[in-house]
Amino acid sequence: MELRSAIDWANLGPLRIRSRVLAEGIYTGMHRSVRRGSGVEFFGHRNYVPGDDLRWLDWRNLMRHERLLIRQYETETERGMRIVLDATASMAYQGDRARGSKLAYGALLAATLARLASRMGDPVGLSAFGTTDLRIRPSAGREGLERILSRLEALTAGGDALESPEVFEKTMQIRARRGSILVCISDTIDLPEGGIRRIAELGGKGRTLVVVQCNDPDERTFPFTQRTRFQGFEGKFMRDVDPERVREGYLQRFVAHSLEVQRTVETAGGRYVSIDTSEAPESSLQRIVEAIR
Amino acid sequence: MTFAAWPALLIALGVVLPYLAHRYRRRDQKVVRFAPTAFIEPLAAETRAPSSLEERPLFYLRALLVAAVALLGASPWVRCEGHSLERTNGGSIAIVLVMDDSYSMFAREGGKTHFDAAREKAFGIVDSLEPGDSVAIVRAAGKTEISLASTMNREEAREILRTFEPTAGGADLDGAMSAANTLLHACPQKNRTVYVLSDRIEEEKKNIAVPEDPSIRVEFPLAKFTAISDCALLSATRLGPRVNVTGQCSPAVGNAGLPERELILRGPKGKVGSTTVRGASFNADIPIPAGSDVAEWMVEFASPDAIPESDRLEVVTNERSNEVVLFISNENEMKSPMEGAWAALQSPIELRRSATLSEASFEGALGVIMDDPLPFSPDERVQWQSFADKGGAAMLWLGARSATPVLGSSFSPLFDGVVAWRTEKRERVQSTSRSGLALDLLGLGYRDVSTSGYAELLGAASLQSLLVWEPSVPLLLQGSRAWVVTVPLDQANSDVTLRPAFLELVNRWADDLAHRGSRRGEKNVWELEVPTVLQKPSGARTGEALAHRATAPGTYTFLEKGKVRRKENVSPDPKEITQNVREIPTSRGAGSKEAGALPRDISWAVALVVLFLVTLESLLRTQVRRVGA
Repeated sequence: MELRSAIDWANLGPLRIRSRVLAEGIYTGMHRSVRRGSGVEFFGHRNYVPGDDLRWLDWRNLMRHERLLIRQYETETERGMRIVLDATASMAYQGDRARGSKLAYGALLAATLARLASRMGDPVGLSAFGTTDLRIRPSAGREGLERILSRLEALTAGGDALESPEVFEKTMQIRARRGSILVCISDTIDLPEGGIRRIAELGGKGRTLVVVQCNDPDERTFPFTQRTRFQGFEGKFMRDVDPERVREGYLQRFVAHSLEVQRTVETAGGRYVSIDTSEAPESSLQRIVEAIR
Repeated sequence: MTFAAWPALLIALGVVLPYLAHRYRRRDQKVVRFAPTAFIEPLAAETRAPSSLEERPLFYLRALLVAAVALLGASPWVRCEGHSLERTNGGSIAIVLVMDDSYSMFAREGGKTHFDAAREKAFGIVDSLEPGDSVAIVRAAGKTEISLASTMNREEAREILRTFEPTAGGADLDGAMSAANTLLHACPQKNRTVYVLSDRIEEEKKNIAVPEDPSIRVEFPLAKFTAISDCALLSATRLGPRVNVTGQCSPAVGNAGLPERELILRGPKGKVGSTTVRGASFNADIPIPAGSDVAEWMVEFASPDAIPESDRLEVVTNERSNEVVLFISNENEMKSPMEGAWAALQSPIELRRSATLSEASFEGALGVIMDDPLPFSPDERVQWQSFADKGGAAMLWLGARSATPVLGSSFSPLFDGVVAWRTEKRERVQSTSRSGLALDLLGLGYRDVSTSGYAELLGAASLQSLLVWEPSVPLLLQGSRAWVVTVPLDQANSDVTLRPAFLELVNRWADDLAHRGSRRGEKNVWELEVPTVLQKPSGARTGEALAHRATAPGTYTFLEKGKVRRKENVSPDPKEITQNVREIPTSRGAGSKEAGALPRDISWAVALVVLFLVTLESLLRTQVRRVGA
């Protein structure tokens, strides 16, 4: 219940509408890059071999030079998108300054990205790890998008990736074609040991990986002042501390952790985006789209 | 409230207070679910400077808890001395406190007397009573007395205990148990208990007669005492140019024998004379220097023993010279052997011969010697009872007339039973007692004394046989009120009066008579010339009076105008100067308990609970730290 209520849909607005509005805004901005179907980008010629589809025969060349050549295009395969969303318990946190919980914010970003990809005719799939392993196979078209949106709306934070790493590991078993785009949205906290490296490995084999580290402003600034008992969402961490005394050490550790995530992702060829749930979602999306390019 | 209630409350406090301190410590602390908690320095909580208000109470409480565990775990070396009243079915209870105030209860152990311990325990028991419970107090003195009938008024019981003046005489535990039994049977309560506050030291070795009723429990709350080793001065009387001192010691332990003890005669200016005594029973003379005035002289042991109150006695000059011993005889002889012996003794007490015993003749008589008396008529028995109650003693020489069967007559109250005359010859005497008197008499000619006829006593259980004819017919019997010889003074019948032992026998009886007159104790009434205030050993003072009766042992101070005199009062019953500790019958099983052996000790259970709590708390703390580390 706590986690479900932490996804403040009312605050963010209906996901479908919000994601559509956001996608329209993003669409306009990236109009030049929108593809209009396969075979648009000319890559070169090769000699015809029996069995080639005659649709790709360069008729003009045949008529002028009497040579059988096949036109080759760069995007002959579709650029499918896989969105991996962290839905563990830690994503339920929402500080005073945040627009919503980390999961709600991440779900909004995922929905918007899915709508964008769908609008371009690319198949979109969704994977989420939390209480269970959620997996929606990539599919293009409106139906696939609707399915993703429905599951995102019903998503609640839960599960402990530290205690149950098998769910995380199962989610990471993603089969994506070469050239696919993988967007992983996570707070990167309380992941199993080697979890970041495991995520970074998704970006190999010609795939584009964007890791979005989504954190609450409280996690970045540690604004607490009164003596507080901090209790982790995952694992059994508990600290009775005077925040003033531990703030500096905490911030150092958090920054070091973020840098480590960035270093790991970028070393593996991926792209790293750090976003804050207090930011406007448009701004965050803009940065993600920029990273995908 | 049982004794376990206080430790339980303390332990409960030991649990509640840390919890309250914990709540106080956490009073303004927020709890926040925070994802990156792992990034917070784990040692921060420990490195925080603790405020004294938060940490010290916890520390002290925990230290107290540990101390409580240690104390409780030390059982049975540390045991609760409190005594709880068992309440089966949760109903009210009826108890009887049997207070033994006999002489042996004044033996000191650990700085206080057994009686002090008994009184303290009795207060504890009375304090444990609850509304609706009834309490009675029975004095187990030589003569059993119900000091307080069953009442629900605990204050009254406390007052009785507070003002309880021990007699320091003999004890009759069986009589007291019987009285307690009667009292409890009259109580409606179902839970009925007799608390016997006694050291159980008595002459008799047999088990204590506990009530047969299984619904009445008998408890002995006092720890088991060891038999006392004590000597007591029984009398110190000036007899002419000497002070005659009698006393008795408890039997020797083991084979070591009784040690020799020094007796000192002390005047106002210091030591006047001394002598040494030895044995279980002694009769010693200390010569008085010529021309001395024995006013306020004391006789005392050079070294005190278990009961120092009985080691000191003032010398009494026999002032009863105008009193007499009646000699009742029907013989027409000019002079009876008794008169001759009495004259030889040079006793200050006059022997007055008379043919009959009248009521008027008892007046002023210290004792009565009767030769071949007839059994007493009912009227005479009443007079004898009154005479005996005043401390009078008798010596009966039974003959053929004594066996005359007269309707309604008997020798009660001197002794019970029937007298029969036997005309049989007896020529040899043996002793049934190891007492000094019996051995002395045998040594002075009574071993081969003979007679042609003797009286036989049937059913005289109250008399103790000292000398017996062979085969087993008593010659001399001794009782608290009378000495009985089973032959008459008639020299034609026996040669008992012709032996030196006869003089010794009369002398001993005369001594006993004299000591009865001077003996302290409950019969001790001091008559004074001027109204005097008496300060008791307890410190309490009486009003001015011409006569005072001493009861409690110790030093009494007479506060006359311009003069202070002191007198010692102690009435040790020879039966109490013994090493016999009466046993509790084992047949009653759970019904009879001895507090020293069966304390209500549940401290081990409490200790286990405390240990469990401490361990649980430690485990929880360890668990939290391990996870958070």
